[in-house]
Amino acid sequence: MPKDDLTFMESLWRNHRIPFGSQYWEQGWFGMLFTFIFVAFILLNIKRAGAGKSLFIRRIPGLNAIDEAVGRATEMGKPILMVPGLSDPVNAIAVQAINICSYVTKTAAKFSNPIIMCAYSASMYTLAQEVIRDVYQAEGVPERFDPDSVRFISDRQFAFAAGVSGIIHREQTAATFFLGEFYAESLIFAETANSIGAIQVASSTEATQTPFFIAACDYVLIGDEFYAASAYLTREPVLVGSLVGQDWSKMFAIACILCGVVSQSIFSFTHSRRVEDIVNSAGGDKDKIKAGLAQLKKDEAHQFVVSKFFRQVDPPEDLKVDREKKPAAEKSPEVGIVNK
Amino acid sequence: MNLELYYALSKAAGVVVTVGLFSVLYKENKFYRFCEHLFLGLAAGWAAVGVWTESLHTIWYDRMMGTVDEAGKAQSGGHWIYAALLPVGFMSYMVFSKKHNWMARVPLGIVLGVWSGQQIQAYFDTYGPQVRAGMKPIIGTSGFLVPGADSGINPQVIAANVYWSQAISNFLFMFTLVSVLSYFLFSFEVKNKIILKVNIMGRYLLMIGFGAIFGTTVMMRFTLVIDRMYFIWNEFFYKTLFHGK
Amino acid sequence: MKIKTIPKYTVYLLLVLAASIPLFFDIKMPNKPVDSSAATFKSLMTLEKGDTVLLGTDWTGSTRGESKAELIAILRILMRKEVKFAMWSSADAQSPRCAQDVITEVNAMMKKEGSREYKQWEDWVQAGFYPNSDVAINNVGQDVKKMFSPKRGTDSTGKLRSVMESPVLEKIQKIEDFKLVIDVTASKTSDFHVQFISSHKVPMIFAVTGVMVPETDVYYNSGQIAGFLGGLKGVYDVEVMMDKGLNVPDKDGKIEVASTKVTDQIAGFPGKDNTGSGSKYYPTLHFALALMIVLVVIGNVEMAMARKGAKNS
Repeated sequence: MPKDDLTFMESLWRNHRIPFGSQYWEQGWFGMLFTFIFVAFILLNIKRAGAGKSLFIRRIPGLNAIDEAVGRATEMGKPILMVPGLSDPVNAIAVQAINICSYVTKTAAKFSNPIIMCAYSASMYTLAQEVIRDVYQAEGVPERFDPDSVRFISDRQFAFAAGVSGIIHREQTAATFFLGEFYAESLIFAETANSIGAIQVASSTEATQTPFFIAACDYVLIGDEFYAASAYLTREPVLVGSLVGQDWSKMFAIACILCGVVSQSIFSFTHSRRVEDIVNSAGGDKDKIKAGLAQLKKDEAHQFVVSKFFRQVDPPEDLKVDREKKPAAEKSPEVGIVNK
Repeated sequence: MNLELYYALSKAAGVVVTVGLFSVLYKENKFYRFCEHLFLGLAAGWAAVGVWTESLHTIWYDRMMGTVDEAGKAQSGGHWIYAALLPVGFMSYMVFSKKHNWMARVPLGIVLGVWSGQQIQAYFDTYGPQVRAGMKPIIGTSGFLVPGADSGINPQVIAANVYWSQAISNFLFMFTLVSVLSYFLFSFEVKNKIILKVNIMGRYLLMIGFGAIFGTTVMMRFTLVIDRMYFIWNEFFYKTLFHGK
Repeated sequence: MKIKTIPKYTVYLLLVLAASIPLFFDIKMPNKPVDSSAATFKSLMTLEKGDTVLLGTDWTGSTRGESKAELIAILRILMRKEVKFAMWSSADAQSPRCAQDVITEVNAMMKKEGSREYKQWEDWVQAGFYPNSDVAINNVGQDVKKMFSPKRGTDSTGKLRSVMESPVLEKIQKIEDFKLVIDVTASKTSDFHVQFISSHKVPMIFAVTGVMVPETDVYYNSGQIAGFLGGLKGVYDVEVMMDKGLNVPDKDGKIEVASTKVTDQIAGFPGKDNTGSGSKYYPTLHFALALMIVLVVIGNVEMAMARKGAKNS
């Protein structure tokens, strides 16, 4: 019977070349431990926050701007535009962005301010519709929810950029919120909104796009401030707990790096001395040096260095491709590598 | 239509739409609006066709229905269970129903679950080597500058030593890393003056980094403009209209 | 910042002129390849005839200026060295079409210089487009054979067969069987390659846009990738190295193109046409950047004078 005539379950079990769960083991025991320490920090703090323990979060300056921007749009009687990033499919970043947008919508709903939310992907559109509808219901004004306020524009990056820019121009939005994953289109949005004088609050999880928002927007949440914002605004135990858990994780990472720096410094000191001794005692004999260095490598394999726990990655210089030996005649004399 | 005329027309359309989209720099106008909607429509059409022909047909439909060769002989059997994915996908459309919109959360939950699981899988592979690369020695073991290849010092000795210029560079790297990381701690009110200063330094270093990023991106944007200009002047006017070589 | 003394439209006109006029002239620029470009060049030149590489193309017309130029340079090397490649995409449904157009273009270039035509199925295959980049790239890392098997292509006799049966992929069982994994990208697929493929023992190189250079540099410095071409500079670097080689001394013993990081002597393809968009656009870029610097200086001087005037009044 040909392989393909197996039932689905048979083919799944028989033909699966990779053991289940192997993707987790590829990173080694320390990698798994490292990841699960972070997971444990987050779960522990979510539990703490859920148990009613008041967890502190410092004030984030950019967040005050949200109310200011909504207030200005109310005064001008113009709509508020929100773009919750270009996540496709929906991921944690998109959910965070939607959380902040729901806060903006909540404030806007109180003042009957029109909103426009532009969705990049079908899944984002679905999520945004759900959340925005819920916000209006929670505020007790479900009749104010306009299903057309959440719009799917395009799932092609620059078509989306052109579409959103067009809306900004036509609707003359008073306030714009760009929150989430943004890429090359970030400056197009920010410049367009800037050209019509809209007040802008922005944040991109992509470090490469943050400079453009800083240059063209009024208020910018930098880096992790974006993740902290939804926890700060909503005070939901899950968000607050995970934020505190992330802080613990960052401190753990800092501690690992500092320990690594100290141990690497000590190692370098002893290593350089040993290499010098080997070279000096060999007196120019290359074979002796080679043997000495090989022995040193063996000895040092058992030496404690923090960096050893982290994945060993072959440096680019060691780029080697295992291949079968081929007759010399097959080699092109013109384009091969000629080692010095 | 011959092929040459087809290419000439497609390039001419490209030039017209490029000028149309650039026209927004003057002001929002009907020409720009036409080009914008053309772009949106084309993108939507292309995505619908592309996702089916390049992707869904192969990885879903063929697996469900099986495949046959040109002679109509079966090449591979189908697996009916792939049909079970269809209702899950259709649940997304329930967002338009007032009564059953909760169903739209099911596929979303699946996508989010897959994403979260993958992040746990990928976390260490992504950041482990970077943390390792951050563990650089910050104490020099020899002179200030790295000796050149012509210094007469054994290259293995040069490679094994950490020169003070390297150590200082490593220290700056480590300080930037730690200070920027500490700037993003939110659950502490920093009162200690030294930590506060490290925090502020972190912010300044972050801004320097953003400046460098800004520079590379400006270069990229200029490249895209130059490419458009090349397309208009060289590919269309010179090569297509005037048949230049 | 607003430039008050120069009208906006004059700035646009100047930019159009700066980005157009130098294109009509053949301007030579001195160049020292950056380490990442030199390492990429080495990775590509280490390949031998008959090797197979996995080539991700995740860009569309939006980044044509950089991504297309990078792909042309990479394809020229692969075709000249007669390396087979399986092409696939996961970022955008338009990507396979864009890449296929480039292959046709490069094939025409190869024909012009007297090389044989690169044939689909025998020399390269289109392994398809897969939505959800992260899941797709993870699957390729876990089981490339299972991932690409359903994709069919037309063999030399005109029959539709699985691409895994093609001469390109018939020996590929797992991701490690590729000699090199390449991703020409303008999207997040580079991150996903690092997340899901870097743990496998297969060298990886990227060709990214200028915007992505800072984040890709992190992957390069931590050893997660073997090298990368960053934007137009990367393209120009590789075109120069293709033309003049790397660390190759001339008749007088002088090395024109050298790298401190990659110390091997790597001969390029002297005598062949190695010019591409990098050589055409790179000098023009300098004119455009010079214009921008001048405008920034004028803007700052103007602003300082306006502030001083406001203080005095």
